[in-house]
Formats: sequence, C-alpha cells, structure tokens
Amino acid sequence: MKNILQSMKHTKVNRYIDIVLLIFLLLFPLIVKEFRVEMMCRYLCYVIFALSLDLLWGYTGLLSLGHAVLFGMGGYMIGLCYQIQSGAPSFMTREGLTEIPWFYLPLKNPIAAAVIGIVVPAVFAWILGSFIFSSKIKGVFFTIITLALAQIFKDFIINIQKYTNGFNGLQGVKRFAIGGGEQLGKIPYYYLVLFITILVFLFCMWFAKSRVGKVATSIRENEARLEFFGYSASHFKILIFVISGALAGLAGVLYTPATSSITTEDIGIAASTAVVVWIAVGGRGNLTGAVVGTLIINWAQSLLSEHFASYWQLILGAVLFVIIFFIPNGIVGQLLDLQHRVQMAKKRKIDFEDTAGVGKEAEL
Amino acid sequence: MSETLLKIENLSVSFSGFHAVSEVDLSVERGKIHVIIGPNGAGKSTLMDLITGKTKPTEGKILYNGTDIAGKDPGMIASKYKIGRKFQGPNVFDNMTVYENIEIALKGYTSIRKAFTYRRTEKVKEKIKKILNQIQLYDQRDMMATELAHGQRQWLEIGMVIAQSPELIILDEPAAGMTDVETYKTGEMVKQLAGKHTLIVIEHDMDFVEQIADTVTVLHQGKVLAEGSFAEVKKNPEVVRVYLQDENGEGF
Ligand SMILES: Nc1ncnc2c1ncn2[C@@H]1O[C@H](COP(=O)(O)OP(=O)(O)OP(=O)(O)O)[C@@H](O)[C@H]1O
Ligand SMILES: [Mg+2]
Repeated sequence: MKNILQSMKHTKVNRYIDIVLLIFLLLFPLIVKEFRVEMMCRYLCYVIFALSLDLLWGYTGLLSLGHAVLFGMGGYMIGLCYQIQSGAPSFMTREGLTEIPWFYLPLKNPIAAAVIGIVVPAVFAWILGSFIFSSKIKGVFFTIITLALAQIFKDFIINIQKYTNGFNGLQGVKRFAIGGGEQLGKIPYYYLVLFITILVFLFCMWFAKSRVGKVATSIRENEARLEFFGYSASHFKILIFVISGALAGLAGVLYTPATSSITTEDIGIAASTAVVVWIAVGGRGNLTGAVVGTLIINWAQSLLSEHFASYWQLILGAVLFVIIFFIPNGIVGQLLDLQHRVQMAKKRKIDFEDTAGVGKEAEL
Repeated sequence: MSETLLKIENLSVSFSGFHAVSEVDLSVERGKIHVIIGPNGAGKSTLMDLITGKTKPTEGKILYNGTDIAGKDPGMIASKYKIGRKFQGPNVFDNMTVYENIEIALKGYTSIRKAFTYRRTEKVKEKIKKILNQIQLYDQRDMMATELAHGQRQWLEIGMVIAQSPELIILDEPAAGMTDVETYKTGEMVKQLAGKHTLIVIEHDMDFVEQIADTVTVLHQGKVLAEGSFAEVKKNPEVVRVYLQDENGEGF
C-alpha cells in the first residue's frame, strides 16, 4: 500500500489527465447524441495531427507552419479513393480526362489508399528534411520554408483542378467501405479512430521516453552542444520529421472519412497555424498538452459558434490570448511545472532536515 | 620518458586578417594535466575550437596519436578520436534533468541505430551513478539543469564530458565564477581524472592552476609566450609583464 502511494506521488500529473480523458472518451458515445460523437471523432483525428506536430515542435524544437500539407496528403488519398470507385469523376471528365490517370489506380482500394496516405507524406518529409537539415538552414528558416510550402501546396491543389477538383475539394467520402460493402457506422468508426489515437499516443509516449526522444529534446535545448558529443543532429531531425509526417498523414487518412470530405481549407496556412495554437494552449512537449489543447479549443469553437453566432471568434480569440500570454507553458505544461516545483521544494526540505540532524555538512 | 598524445605544429587561424592563433607549437603528454593561461583574447578558446573541429585552421597540423585531425568535423573528432570538451561558461541541456544530461552524453549510443537499441541497464545506471557522485550531483539528479547553481552547472558539464569517455578532455575555464571552496573541489575532481585521461585546462585562477598543473603554456596575442612547470612560468619576467601583472596589478 505504501508503495502504491509512493509511486502515485512520483507519477506526473499529466498521466492522471490521460486516464481521466481515456475513460471519458470511451464512454462518450453512451452519453451524447450521435452528431456529437461525429464531432468528437473529427477532433480525435486532430488530436493525432497535433501529436505529430508535438513530436516535431514540442520535443525537437522544430516549428512547422505547414504541417497541414502532410495532413492533407493523407486526407486527399482517401478522398480520391472514393472519387474513382466508378470510373472517372465529373471533375475529371469535365476537363477532358475520361480515363482515371494510371497513377491514381493504386488508390482504388481504401486500405491501399490509407497506406499510401501515410507513406507519401513520410517520403515527402524525408526528401524535404534531407534538403533542409543537411544544409546549414537552422531554426526559424525551417519555419519559414514550411510556411511557404503550405501556401504553395494549397495553390498547387487548387490549380490542378482536373486531378483534385480544385478548391471545391472532394466530397462523398465513405467510412472505409471495403470491397463494395457497407461503410462503417458512425459509432464503430468513432471507436476505430479512438483505438488508433490510443495507439498513436502510446507510440509517442514510448518515443518521448526512448533515447531518440531524449536526443530530440537535446536538439531543442542545445543543438550545437550535441554535435560535440559525437551526434549527427541532422540525421535525427530527418528521422523525427519522417515519423511526424507519417503520423500527420495518418491523421488525414482518418479525418476525411470522419467528415466525408476534404477541401483546400484543411491543408493551407490557416489549418497549419490552428494546430500550433492548440498545442500552445495545451502545452508543448508533454503529449497530454497537445490532446487537451486540441479538444478544448475545438469544442470551445463549435459550442461558442452554436451559442454566440456573431461574436464567438472574438471571445475565443480573447481567451486564447489570455492563456498564451499568462501561461506560456500551456495548461498542462503549467501543471507539470507546478508539480515539479512542489516536489523539489519538499526534497530540499527533507535534505535540509537530514543534514541538520547529522550536524554540520562534512567538508571535502 | 612519457608519451605525446597531442602534437600541434605551426597552427594558425585568422579571421578576416586578425591572427587569433598564430604559429602555435604545443605538445601534450598522455595522462598529464596541461594548463593554458593567458590574458583575455589571447586565443586560448580559439585554439580549443581548432582542436575540436569547431573552427578550421588556415595553416598547420594537429597530430593526435599521430593522425592529423585538423579540419575534421566536430562529431567525428568527438566520437572517433575521443576528444571531449567543456565549453567556456556552462553549456548544458537546460530543460532536461541532471540525470538525462549525463545519459545523453554517454559514449557509444550516438548513432540512430544505437539510440534505438539503448536500454537503461544496470551497468549503464551504475556508470551514471558513479559519474554523478564524482561531480557531487547525485542528490540533484532529478533537478532540471537550469535549477542548478552556477558552479554545479559547470560540474554537470564536466560530468557530461566524463560520460563521453574521452581520451583527451578539454576544460575551458572550469572554475570560472566559483567560490574558493568550489574551485578547490573542482581542482580535486580534475586531478582525479588525470592518468586515465589526458587533460588540457584553460584557467585564470592562479591558485587553481598551481593546484592542478603538470605543465603550463602561456598564450599571448595568439602566440606561445612561455612554457614549463607552474613555478618556472610564474618566474618568467615576460609572463609577469604581459599577464600576471595585468591580472592583479602586481606580480606574485
Ligand atoms: N569565429 C571568430 N570570428 C572572429 N573572431 C574570433 C572568432 N573566434 C575568436 N575570435 C577572436 O579571437 C580572439 C581570441 O579569442 P579567444 O576566445 O580565443 O580568447 P581567449 O583567450 O579564450 O579569451 P578569454 O580568456 O576571454 O576566454 C578574440 O579577439 C576573439 O574576438
Ligand atoms: Mg576563452
């Protein structure tokens, strides 16, 4: 019993939040209406997206302002999959494309499209990362390049209309109807997404604890120093970018069926900066913060817009400003900080009492 | 007869015409503590930048175990040639615990593959514990590096360098900003490392230099001004004039 109490004292506060959240999410469909479950399902996809950026930004210190590009690559693969099920869709034929282009054929199977939706952003991150990180481009330049990328990618998708339906985006996406069968129901799909979210979260936890994760943190803290311990920081940065890209792609793959559509609104600068704000509010570099921030802001956004149709954006903006201004570590970051300080103060007190009991501290 | 680990020949570097290090010859004996002193801006840290690959020399050789390492990249000099360096002023990973700081520096797990297979085995834990005791930070192991006092941060970085298991350890002003007691403790730590490791130490505190030095080299305006035991150097009239007097306004 004492042992359990002891270990509870040393458990970080965010682990309790994780468990409460997990139970809440498992029970959620039992306590609300179906359209709320559908909303939560969408936000869970955002959670995966936020976790992917937290590895890159929160842990490694590389702020991407174009992360929605990777998310969009995943999302579009699934979107296209359902467009080409029965021959070339109208947006293609309208532009004179009567046959499905050969490079779209592998997307016809939803499972294959899902895999491609994860692999493509990962490979893209690998190529981009190899260029950026192997050269001397540092810090803020990565951010600027990714920002430019978000704009370019969005323009590109809009411009190649006969392949992507331009800014209209792709509609009518099914929740993984495989082999012409029925698509998954909304509730089963919610649980599928929740299950994958849990797996992703566990993976991120493992990553953060692993040595690769610690190297990532050291890159964030002091990259120049790390090289003098014999590390090649650029190799690690490329690896982490690839992992992050794959997870962002996965988020997109799950998101498109959850909303049954994807448009260029989901892939540009606005979408990329939104996820940065979610993480900033929740607190970066501890995973729980990314989850909490994403869920709170997205729910706040939709509930506020339901109740205060005209000025909800003002309210939300003001609240975000206050949070980021007064608790720069984010909600969960602040709690962790508080816990750490209390623990250290207690420890110092114990040490002090110990030495006071023994008498004067031994001189060297 | 002792053996030479590091032999620097005619080493120079200039930054847009300014000769920060010029025509330096230097020999460091294996297992010994070689102290480098000299006024501010003499080129001491720059000389260390050259040895550790941070700066590329314009001329000269850095023979390490007989191999010229001049101009090689820092990661390679650290891992392949086993040269560890403590920078001037604490240079640690601030928002990581003391324990994690040492752990990251551990030798042998710096490639991606090794990083994936790394486990905190009993052997690893023992090793980290030993280092933490050596630098007197075992009780502070769960503190963040930023929470440490200045002197403790210096020790932490020394610990990180030890964790690298280097053959040659470079310490750039390890006792800067420390109290007299801390400085003395640091001196004892450094002396413990000699023998197993070879050390180059840059320092301004003359009591500290006297405490640890086997050999002292004096740099001045990028050049070697004098070399010898602490007693010899202290008596050298040139050294007294350009350095020792400047420091204290009087000779020793
Ligand atoms: N990368 C660089 N570019 C330009 N000038 C440099 C560079 N590195 C060092 N210097 C110059 O070289 C000179 C020697 O500097 P260095 O840091 O080696 O001195 P030091 O002996 O370590 O002095 P201190 O005791 O103050 O640490 C200084 O004038 C410095 O400004
Ligand atoms: Mg210096």
